[in-house]
Amino acid sequence: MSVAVGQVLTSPKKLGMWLFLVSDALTFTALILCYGYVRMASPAWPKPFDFSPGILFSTLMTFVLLTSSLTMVMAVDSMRKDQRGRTAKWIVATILCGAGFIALHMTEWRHMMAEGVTLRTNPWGDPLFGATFFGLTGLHMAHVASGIVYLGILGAGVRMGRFTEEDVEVGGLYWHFVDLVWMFLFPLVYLTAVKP
Amino acid sequence: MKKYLAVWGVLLALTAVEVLLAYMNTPLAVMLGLLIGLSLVKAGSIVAWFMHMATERRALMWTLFPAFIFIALALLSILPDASRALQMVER
Repeated sequence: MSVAVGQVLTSPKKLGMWLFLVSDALTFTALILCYGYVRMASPAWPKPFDFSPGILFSTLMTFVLLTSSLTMVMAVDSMRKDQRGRTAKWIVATILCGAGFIALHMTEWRHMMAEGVTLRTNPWGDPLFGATFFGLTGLHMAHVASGIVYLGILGAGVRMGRFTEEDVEVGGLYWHFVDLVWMFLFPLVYLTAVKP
Repeated sequence: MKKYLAVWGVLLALTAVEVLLAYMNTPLAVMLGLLIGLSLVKAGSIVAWFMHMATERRALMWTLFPAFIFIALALLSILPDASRALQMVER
């Protein structure tokens, strides 16, 4: 008795992406754990984030990233209805949101560097802040940047008539994961370090 | 389509609640608890609807579930230390 693959299994591409995402989540878990541990061991952990630009920018970044997730599901939805032109447009919208996120983040990073925050020192006393801050947010930003490249290739291919509905969905899985990680980084890194 | 818009709206609203929480004089333990809870709800919503886990074959969910649990427990494993650190600051 032969059974179509789709009936018994999740497609290999989708399962592969999910397994990658789980292992990537463990990488972030390790970094977040280190951040938490170092932070708990330092009674005078810096609380450097003023409302502006720190919290205002990171809140905006959260909104931009959530919106990019919305445009990405719209892309997957359009591809399901076989509307390739629309799909490509939604993917471009997602890329623009991702680029906006990076632009906001770099502005914020430059602001902090101008205040004297480096990997090893900061102006607020306890030197243990820079490495975890730049490490966590930097790894996340690297994910956003590679996501933009990924979606660029995907969008261009969709426009040229290549790739299937499933390929777009798998690309969407990666993009939503990057959004999901930020849902933890934003409260952990920013909201618990608001300047009192 | 409407479903996705609704999820997006809820995620934005929960983010706004989190930011408000950071500026209200909530006791730190309550604030941490709420932030953890809200983050898990947000992550769960993204996985369920944006990543289609809710409409996916159950087997995929059960394949990944142990890893999800491990990640959540690993992230929460230092929470007892957090409460000790709070007392350290207050003293």
